[in-house]
Amino acid sequence: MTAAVNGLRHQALLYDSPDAFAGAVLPFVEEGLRRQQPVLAVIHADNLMLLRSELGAAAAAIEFIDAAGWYTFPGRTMGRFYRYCEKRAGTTDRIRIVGEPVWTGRDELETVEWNRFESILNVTLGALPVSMLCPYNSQLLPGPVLAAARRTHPELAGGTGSETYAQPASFYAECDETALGDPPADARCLDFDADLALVRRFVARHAPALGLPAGRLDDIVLAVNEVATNAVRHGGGTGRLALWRAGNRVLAQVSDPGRLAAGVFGYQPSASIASGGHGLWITRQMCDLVEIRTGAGGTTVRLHVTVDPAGQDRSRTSQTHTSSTSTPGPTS
Amino acid sequence: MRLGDHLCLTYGTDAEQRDVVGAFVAGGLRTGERVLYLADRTGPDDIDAWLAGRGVDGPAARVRGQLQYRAGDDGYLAGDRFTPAAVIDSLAAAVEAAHQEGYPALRVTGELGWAAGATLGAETLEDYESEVDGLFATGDLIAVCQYDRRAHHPVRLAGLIAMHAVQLVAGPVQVGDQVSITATYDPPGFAVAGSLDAAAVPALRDALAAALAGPGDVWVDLSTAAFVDVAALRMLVRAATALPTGRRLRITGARAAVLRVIEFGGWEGAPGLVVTPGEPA
Repeated sequence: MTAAVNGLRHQALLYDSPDAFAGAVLPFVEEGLRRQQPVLAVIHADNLMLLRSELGAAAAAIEFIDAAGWYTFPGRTMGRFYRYCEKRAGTTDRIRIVGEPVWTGRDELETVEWNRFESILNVTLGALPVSMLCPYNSQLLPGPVLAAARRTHPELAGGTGSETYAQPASFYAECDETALGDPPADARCLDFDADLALVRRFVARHAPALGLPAGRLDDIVLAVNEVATNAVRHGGGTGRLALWRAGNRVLAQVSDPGRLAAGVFGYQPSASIASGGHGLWITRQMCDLVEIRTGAGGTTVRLHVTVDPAGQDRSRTSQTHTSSTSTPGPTS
Repeated sequence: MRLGDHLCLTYGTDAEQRDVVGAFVAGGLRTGERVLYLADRTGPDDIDAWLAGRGVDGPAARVRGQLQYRAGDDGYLAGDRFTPAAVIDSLAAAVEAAHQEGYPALRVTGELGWAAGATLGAETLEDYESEVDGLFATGDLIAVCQYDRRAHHPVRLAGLIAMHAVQLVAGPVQVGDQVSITATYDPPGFAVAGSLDAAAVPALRDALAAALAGPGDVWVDLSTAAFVDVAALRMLVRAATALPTGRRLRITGARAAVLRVIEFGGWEGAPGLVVTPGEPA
């Protein structure tokens, strides 16, 4: 594949057999090795074994990561991809990534947010010299996931344009069509103003009682603080915080009367340390899911932290640790 | 602080005086400057004890002439009275002597507690503080005038403070009841206790500006910071990246939550930034 673009090339590979997977992925990574480009393969365990054995000795030059430990939560995964690419962008003409998202075990909301992730990736990594090939198993995955893949990737493997590709801004708006709904009647609520210490104390007091593990308290306190800071600063000086439990999640929601300018709200890192906008980018990575709705009626940011230990530790326990498998980071 | 500075320190406890003046004297001896101590109520043994606590040998420094101690008639009060011109002349001579003897600079610190009492000429202290400024123009003199807040009348003290280019404050800057920021002098920088959030931004900015005005690395101790928001960390990282080559901003005592923000912000390798983890005490 000759890259005619300077920035991101983002392609979906819909494969129906191990042979089809190898037939598309092998030439993609081998070309990267030939050109001495960094190659990262974040793929499912079975494909990982397959690709390793096909590559033989050449596999040593590739960074392999089990997708289960990398595609944990959309904001965090986006941060990892961004940092991986940003760190290497100045040292190579192109970075090659095989990125196979995890779709099994996702509920409806998670599926929407992972679709949104695939679409927004076109913006977040848009300016970086990255070629990214995203395998989708067409035998296993449900029709809507495959249809969404064609809408979130500008190209299909091989370089042909995807006819149903949707611009990220319009896809993002589509993902927002479902209303958030009100917090339940028994949610613990706090009306706040500039006293953010009060907001943090409220979270620290009530979130553990909702089942939040102690190890996640700092994360949610920081995330709520950032969103509440935005509410106080840009939302008219006041806001309302609600905390509740829904299934295996603890939710913290901050509402304020202000309206956000159009954008991807924390899915695009700030251009530099000197500019603002780091708060939401970091909040997206601190929490497991972040839902944002803004409009004439005000702005609502809903933060999710998973309580279920299996879900929470997914990134740690399912990691394959072999000689050439790197870990995604100390705080995944 | 830097050469050419005419600084004042106000302190309210002996411990504050010991911390700031001890660091000032020890720092001068370590960098090879001559240090002249003009004492009022502190004896040479007290100063030796301060220095010993910092691993510096005071008696040895006095024997080789690097540390000079003068009090009473030898110090500010020649002829048992305070005469600005006489003190300024003797300081000028001390600068010259330091040069002659091969010291790169003269570091002076003096206790002015006598001016609060019935000392002859005490009322001319303001004239002195104003006229002595001329000595600093050459840039090979740095001085800290010590004012004990317990001794001096607050109104007079405010006027005296205003006659100095920089005021060193021992003791914390409080913002409400949620954060206090304390300047540190050895190593130079500041320590944060409590929560750094949007309300603490002005205090953090001031502490950072004061620390950046000095030479060398800036040490930011976060070991007793219960909470640090994204904007506060960004301010520290931004200051680090703006430092000239060779200087660093060193965050110490960074807890897991702080490390996570630095990681997620992508600030780990920021130029000029050194982060040392630490767990809560």
